[in-house]
Amino acid sequence: MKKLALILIFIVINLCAQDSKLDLKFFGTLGAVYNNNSDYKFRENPFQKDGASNSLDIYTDSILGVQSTYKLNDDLSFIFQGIAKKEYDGENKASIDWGYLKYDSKENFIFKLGKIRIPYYKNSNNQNIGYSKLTIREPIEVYGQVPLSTYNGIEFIYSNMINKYFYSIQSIYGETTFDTPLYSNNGDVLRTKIKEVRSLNLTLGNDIIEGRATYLYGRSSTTSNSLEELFTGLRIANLDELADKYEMDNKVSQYYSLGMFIDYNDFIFSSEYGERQVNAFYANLHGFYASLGYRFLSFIPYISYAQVEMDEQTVVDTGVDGLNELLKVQNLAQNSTNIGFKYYINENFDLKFEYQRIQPKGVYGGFYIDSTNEYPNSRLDIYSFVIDFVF
Amino acid sequence: MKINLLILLTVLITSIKAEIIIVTNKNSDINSLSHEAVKYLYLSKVNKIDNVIIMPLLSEDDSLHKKFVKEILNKNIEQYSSYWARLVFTGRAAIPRKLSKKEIKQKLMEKNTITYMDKKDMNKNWKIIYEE
Repeated sequence: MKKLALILIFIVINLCAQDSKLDLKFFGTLGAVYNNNSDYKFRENPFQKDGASNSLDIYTDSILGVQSTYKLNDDLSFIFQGIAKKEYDGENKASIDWGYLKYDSKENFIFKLGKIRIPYYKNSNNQNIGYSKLTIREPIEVYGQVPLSTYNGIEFIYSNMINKYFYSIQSIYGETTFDTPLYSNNGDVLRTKIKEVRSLNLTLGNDIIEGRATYLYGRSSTTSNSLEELFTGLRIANLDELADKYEMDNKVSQYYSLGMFIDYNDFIFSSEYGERQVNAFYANLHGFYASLGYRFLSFIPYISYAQVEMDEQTVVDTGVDGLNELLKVQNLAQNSTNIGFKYYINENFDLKFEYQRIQPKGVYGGFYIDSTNEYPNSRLDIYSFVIDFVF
Repeated sequence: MKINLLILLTVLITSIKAEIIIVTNKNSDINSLSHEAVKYLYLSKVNKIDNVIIMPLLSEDDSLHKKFVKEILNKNIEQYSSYWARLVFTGRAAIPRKLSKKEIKQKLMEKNTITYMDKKDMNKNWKIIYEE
């Protein structure tokens, strides 16, 4: 509530200001999702408590946002983005998604300091801006591999041309902490801290084809009441080797991704591959997606396929039931097929419709789909409709 | 007779068809730009070329702007809007304000500002740095 009040004050100050140094913009998505499978709750991200389960849900994709830029001088500016959406405890919440001080002297390099979005994937920085994207949601099989979106630190971007091609080098450094609620585990919360977050991203292309490669490194620590109990128990039982292997305590975590994007003669193709390696109870995994669309003026139908698989078997007999169970639930393998369209209404609005078929393969469901029952691994048919806007 | 009329009509249509050019102040440090450089400047992928910081200007003339987006940037207006929404709402770049003819003339008095215009609107204070 306090954050909502802060954002409202922030908006009012902006609206009242006559100073041309201030710029205020709005964006949002109003949507509805229907999931035909009552055994699962379909969610957009791991922070949502509720989702669509044999019902129509209007909160899964809906989001309202405001972005304010204050120019200190020609080179320096403060930029903040606030969003309001339903998450965590099932309530609509407003929060500052990111905000930083930006230095851009138009010399082809940009420097940022503050709370910044992590540039894992092509659309990781604009995931909340539906109008800027072709599909309603980015494929969770790739975009869900690292469940964090921002860090506190610095970012450096350098862009230039080589012959007919442009390239961009993006590098970050910082740290982050975030909590993930575990709704199926008596309200327990997963507390994660990632130190030494470092990333290097390279982009090269022209206006037809673009390639992208990202490497991300961090030292991760994750705990919760139940995890603490489990690993303390292992150490008391002198099973230190087992605890050291699986406890996520300052563990090296790495992520690699490659992407290719083509926009040629109204054909739009995009594909990204991602690989997560965390040497702890989190399962190492890899996934990819490929999508193809065709632009008929304002109408763009598309089709896509995505899948994610674990690198290793998650059903392991460690000799400790609690640990076996923890490892087993890490299997989030699934695949999905999407067919949908985007229709540009004008420079401010678009509408989208999408049919998605998800086949969970993991023992306890897939990415962000929360089983309400005995994890039957049955198929989900998801129908989504949204209107995106920017002002 | 019919053929002559057709030829005349074709010549007339060709002569009234707007030809888009990119111009700058005649004292600017830039003398020419490649097609790719124009595209990357207007899509905010780069700001500086050959050690010259270049400031691209947008026209509020809607038909000229759409023609520029289609013929020079090779995008349709929907693609262009979506592209800029991505830049603006990721904090990467602020979309430049569209300017009137009078404002553009004023701005072109500054070195290294560039804009697109119909070739027929060219004047002696400017130089052409790109034309198809």
